[in-house]
Amino acid sequence: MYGAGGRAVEVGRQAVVGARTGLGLGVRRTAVNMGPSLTARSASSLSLSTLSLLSLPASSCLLRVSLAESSLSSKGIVKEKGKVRGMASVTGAANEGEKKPTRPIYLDAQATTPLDPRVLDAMLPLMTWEYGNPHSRTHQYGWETEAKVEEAREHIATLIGASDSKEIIFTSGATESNNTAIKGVARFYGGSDSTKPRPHVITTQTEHKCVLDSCRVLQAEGAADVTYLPVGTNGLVDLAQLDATLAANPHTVLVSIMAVNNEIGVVQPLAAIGALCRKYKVFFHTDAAQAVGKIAIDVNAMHIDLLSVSGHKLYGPRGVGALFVRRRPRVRLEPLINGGGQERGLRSGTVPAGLVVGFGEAARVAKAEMAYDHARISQLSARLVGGITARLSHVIRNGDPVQTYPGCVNLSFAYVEGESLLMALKDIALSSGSACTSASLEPSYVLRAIGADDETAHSSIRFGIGRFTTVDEIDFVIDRVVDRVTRLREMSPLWEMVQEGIDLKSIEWSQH
Amino acid sequence: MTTTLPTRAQALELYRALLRSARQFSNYNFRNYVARRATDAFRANQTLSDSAARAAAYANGLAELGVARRQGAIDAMYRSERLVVEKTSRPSGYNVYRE
Repeated sequence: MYGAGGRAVEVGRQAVVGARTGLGLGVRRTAVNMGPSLTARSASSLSLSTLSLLSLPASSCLLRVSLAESSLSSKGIVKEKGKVRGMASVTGAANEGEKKPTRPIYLDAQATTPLDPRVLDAMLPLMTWEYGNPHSRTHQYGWETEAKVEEAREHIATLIGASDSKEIIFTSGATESNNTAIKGVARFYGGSDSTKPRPHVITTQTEHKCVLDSCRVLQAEGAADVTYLPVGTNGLVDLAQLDATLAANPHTVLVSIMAVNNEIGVVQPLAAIGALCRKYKVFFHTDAAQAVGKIAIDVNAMHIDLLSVSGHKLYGPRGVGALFVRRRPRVRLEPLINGGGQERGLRSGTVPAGLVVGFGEAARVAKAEMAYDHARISQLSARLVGGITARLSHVIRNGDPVQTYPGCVNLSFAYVEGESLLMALKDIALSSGSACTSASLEPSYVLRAIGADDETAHSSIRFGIGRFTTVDEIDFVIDRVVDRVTRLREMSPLWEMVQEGIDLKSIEWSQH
Repeated sequence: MTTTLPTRAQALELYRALLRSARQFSNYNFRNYVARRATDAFRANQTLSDSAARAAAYANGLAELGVARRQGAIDAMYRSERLVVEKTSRPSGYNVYRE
């Protein structure tokens, strides 16, 4: 009795959804769930109420829904109890005997990382009773929040080796930091003064989309010339080529090269690049979203002038980031966002104190845990790569195997299509590259830039290992990947040809 | 911050309390991490001879215990479905020494 009544309420709710969206969806879904004998009756009574709901104001909606419910229950839904059950099992809805739904394990630490419990613990007071505006100077609410924000700033400065916490500017994330740094410097040093030569910016082809796009905007505006340096097959920038480019372009104002690549995990030689930039008196910006908190970064030792950090890549909250802007020698830039002059006037707008405090705590924890996390992630990474390559042939590791961050493993499984492998691995949260490129079927531009052919680029998968990944999870992933790749290869005619010793490159495919 | 030097019994009691607090977490990854981190930290600090360092490690452990107790309680209130790798029937009796 109770169960059937519950079902009737649900039918009523679905009708409301259908009515609100203006589609007959709710009714159609009901028909599927309730079985054929019920369809005609419920559909007619519901479509009536659906139609009238559309033209009625919100207040009378409630009344109508309750009418629909009561009319359904009075029309003998109770009798249909057995049918409802039966249909549910056919349509695959949860039944008593079935397994409970499970969540996939998370192995996409380059996209984002879970919030560390210590971070949430630091944030909660600001999300509940410490809600003062950190810029309020006239009362305790403001003072206490400001003190916490400054403490967070100190933690982030310590983590990247900045000598003064005033060099840290809070932003909404690494994308905003990168935009501010690149556009800000180029616009300040070029500006509207037409007598000055047009500034020049150097970056690489494997940068994150937000760096490449900021550069494109500068080019489109005519605000700067940009050189996109190629990278080697290992993903690393060629220092001799950078040197030559700097020498050939005396108007260069900025070099922007990322610290750790988000797709293949290679670590660029930051200290060497920094030294080169110092030699030519050019500012060095690095997008360190994937590096800070994971590998040791020292802005002074590496001669970094601008550095972008993201909160949610180091177990902090999403929606906050920071930009390090060197004060000595001073880097000047034009702000993207103007207003109240917060954050040294470089980023106006109220600082989101709760997020910033979480970010600061994440930085403190990252500093304290760096050695431990790095050792453990290296161990898990070696286990993953070793476990897969021991049981599968034709697996290619993309990017330099030594100069790399072990938490990012990018593997190509030859003769298997990456997207279908991802579908077959639905119990593991993985991606084929960065979140922005995995939506399109285009092969990753990063893999293209390191000289991977189309087949390799299409068959790549990125494994992101994090602080909370367990040995059991890695073993599960190894088993699943080996099993699914083997099965997909067995279905592949290309794989069969390879086993027979035919060189695929020698085949001339007929054109259709 | 307390700067008192813990006795052997106090240190062991802290360790046991940390393991207990780990079991509160409903999230598989956090539950394992808190227990594993405590075990590894106690193992690493076993040979600490400098008394200031020992006192600091103890104080740090107490702070971590406070966080784990609060966050474990919160975590237990917002449960998700089980992960595909979770075998045991949720927290109680989970063998923390497995890893």
